[in-house]
Amino acid sequence: MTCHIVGVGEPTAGDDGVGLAVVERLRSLPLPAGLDVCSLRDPSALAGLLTRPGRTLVIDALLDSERVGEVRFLAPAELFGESRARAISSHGVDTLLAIALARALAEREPPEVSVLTIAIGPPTKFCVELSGRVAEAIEPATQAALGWVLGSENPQRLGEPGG
Amino acid sequence: MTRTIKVDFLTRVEGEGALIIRFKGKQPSSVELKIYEPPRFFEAFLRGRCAFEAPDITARICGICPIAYQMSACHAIEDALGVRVSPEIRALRRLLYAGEWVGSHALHVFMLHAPDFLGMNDALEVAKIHPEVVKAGLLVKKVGNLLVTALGGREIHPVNIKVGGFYRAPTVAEIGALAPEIEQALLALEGQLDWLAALPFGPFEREYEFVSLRHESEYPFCEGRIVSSGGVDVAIAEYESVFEEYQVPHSTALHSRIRERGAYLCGPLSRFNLNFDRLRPRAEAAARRLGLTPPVKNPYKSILARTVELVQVLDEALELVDRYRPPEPASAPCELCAGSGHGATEAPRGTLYHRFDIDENGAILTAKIVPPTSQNQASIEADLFAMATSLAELPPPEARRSAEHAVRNYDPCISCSTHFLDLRMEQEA
Repeated sequence: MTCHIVGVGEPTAGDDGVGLAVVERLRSLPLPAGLDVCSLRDPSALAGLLTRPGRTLVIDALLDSERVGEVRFLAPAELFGESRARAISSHGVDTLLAIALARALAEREPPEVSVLTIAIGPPTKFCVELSGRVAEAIEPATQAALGWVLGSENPQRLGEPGG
Repeated sequence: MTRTIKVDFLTRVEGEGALIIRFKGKQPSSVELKIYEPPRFFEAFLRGRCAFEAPDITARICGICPIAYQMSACHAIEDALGVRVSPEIRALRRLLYAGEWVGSHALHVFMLHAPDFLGMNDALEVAKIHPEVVKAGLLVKKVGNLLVTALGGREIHPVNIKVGGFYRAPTVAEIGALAPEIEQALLALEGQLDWLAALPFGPFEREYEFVSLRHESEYPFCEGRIVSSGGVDVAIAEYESVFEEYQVPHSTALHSRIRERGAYLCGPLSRFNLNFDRLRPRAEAAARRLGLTPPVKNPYKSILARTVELVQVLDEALELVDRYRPPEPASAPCELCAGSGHGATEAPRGTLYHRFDIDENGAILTAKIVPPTSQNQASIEADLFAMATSLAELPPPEARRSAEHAVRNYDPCISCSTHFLDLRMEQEA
């Protein structure tokens, strides 16, 4: 089955670029056949990407000042429930709204999508460097993404707090 | 008696702010659009920087319309240095600017503004009832991103723009590949015109002084004279002789007015009203199908003006793609020298003015940047003042929703100047 990994973020907003940094790390590795990896700065474009056949993993920063650097998959309730987790937003269409739109607009089966997040604090300045704990999260996030591709990572389990 | 309606923050608007409406008896006495985003001092930290850096630095003012900042900065610096670009570079700039308008307008029309008219909270609710509308919106938005990526190097904060032109001109094949996507988006958009025309706009109208650029033959992007429905007709270099910024106590963002006259309106409604005769036939046909003829004084119909502009720029983009010849060289030669230059272009939200004074080493001495949202703040307040009595008669949640809707008519980008909205209605003793 085709797998897609989409890193989302803004590289000049410091830690908000961590999703892109994980994708860059993945690209430096020998990747399994059938895996498509891409980067995205505008989350609204995600809705279009999710019309592609196959399953998709979205990697993005998550605002959570109390758990900076934590790597986890979002649980379904956080993804699709009334109180969706708060991702970084650009003018009203954030990653999770784009995913929800893709599901609402699906003509057949809704897209199979998981979201891997790296917790960050609020970006406060223009810079291209990641802060220490977020930079340290690149490797575990990369391994979690590869585990997802191979089917060895269980998003539900990882979605539990502290997972 | 004090009536307070409090909202944590306004969604679907960029930036942070608040709105206070005060009453004496049943009559509104004041409206304050409070912008409390901290000022970012771009004009100050441009001083001393090389003039060639201005487009990339000013682009950081806004993630939604960075090209507007790049274009206004390029035009102002080129004006100061006496640089003239080739017709091929000019055409490529129009195509790039079209990409930004398409992305920005599609997002606002279909994702941010349309839910207001349906009493819905967001585009997700619209998608469940009118999926074809949101699909069309996403398709059009995608083309905006494709255009900016192809010409600018990436979809947000493009890196291929410089004073004098571009670092690299795309190949004919790269540009040609965009044509089917643009045509598909245009057809999808035209398929939604009847749906958009049927939205409930209400009877509200107000007398505005409309301000925009006007070009001798084209719908305005980058050049022309600054004109108004009240008789203003000046060269871009004379902007500051007609318009002035002023500080108000309740906002960190400067307001703007026509000297000795007052508030004015810039943006899609103004461009449409002042440049209807510059629309391309396909856009004019769209306007007629939408029932839109100038002068349009109902600010809620700005969603229709944006839609006409979407047709306009997508149609022009098709032509520019078809006629594309890579500019050689990709940029005009530029040498740093002392001078002063002015630039004004039409950002999606309205006229964006830049002035730079440069010393003999090419360092910026002074920079003045007047974004469209700043220019429209007084007009937003005037709209809300005119609506205040009816807002006061509504239950608090509906009053908040109506006020937010009125503000979103302007697609304000508050972080440019200025997220909104904490609404309070106060009764003065």
